[in-house]
Amino acid sequence: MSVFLQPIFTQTASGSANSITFNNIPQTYTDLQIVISARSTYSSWIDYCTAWYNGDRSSIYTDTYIYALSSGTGGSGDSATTAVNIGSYPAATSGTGVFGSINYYMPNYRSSNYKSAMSDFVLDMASTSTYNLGLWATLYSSSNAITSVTFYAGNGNFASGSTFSLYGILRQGV
Amino acid sequence: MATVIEVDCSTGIVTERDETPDEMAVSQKMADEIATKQATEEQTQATQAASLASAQAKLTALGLTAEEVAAITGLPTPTV
Repeated sequence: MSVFLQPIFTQTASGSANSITFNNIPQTYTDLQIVISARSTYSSWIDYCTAWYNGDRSSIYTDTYIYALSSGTGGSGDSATTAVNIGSYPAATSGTGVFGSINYYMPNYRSSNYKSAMSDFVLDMASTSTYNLGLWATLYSSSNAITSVTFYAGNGNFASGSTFSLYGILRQGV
Repeated sequence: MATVIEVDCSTGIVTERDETPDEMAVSQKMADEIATKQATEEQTQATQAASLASAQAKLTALGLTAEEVAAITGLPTPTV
């Protein structure tokens, strides 16, 4: 149980960037949390946000997910990939000005064991009848502490006004 | 050309710069992979939605009421 949530940094996208990296993450917390409000410039209704750690693009990532769309539910996953998916979010043909929310939690980011993390995402569909939401679980099969994390926009860029807020969490008793 | 944003959490310094050629190549590869995955998922979802609509129509044709179809499928009452 966390007893302390410290804002580390919030970065807002300019509209021309397709990735945002937090480097030199303090190694003084037990967990990290990233709260994302984002929209993509991609010419579709949806884009996919991915992430990787420490600039490490080797094939040691795993992810799995479940989702619920207004048209049905499902799930899938990937292994031995060079990044993890952490959530879908609205793109250029979604309702004007709507953003999606991704909440990404990274426990034990300094651990020398493999690091798991999880995210939930909700697309704002600007609708009372359609929806898109889901959960991702991810694994980074490395014994290295996480000192940086990169978020990649997918097919487009992060639209202007997209924000990425990084928090450090201290667990009770630490 | 896309840019990349790098935040140094130890100093608070933010750098936004153009992608390097290597980063551009990686971005293009990732975008291609994501687009392929997206197309596959959208096709799967479309197929599922079409199958569901077809199943609902067939159940209705068998004489089930809209409420019975909804009870079986666990989804909203079809409008067929």
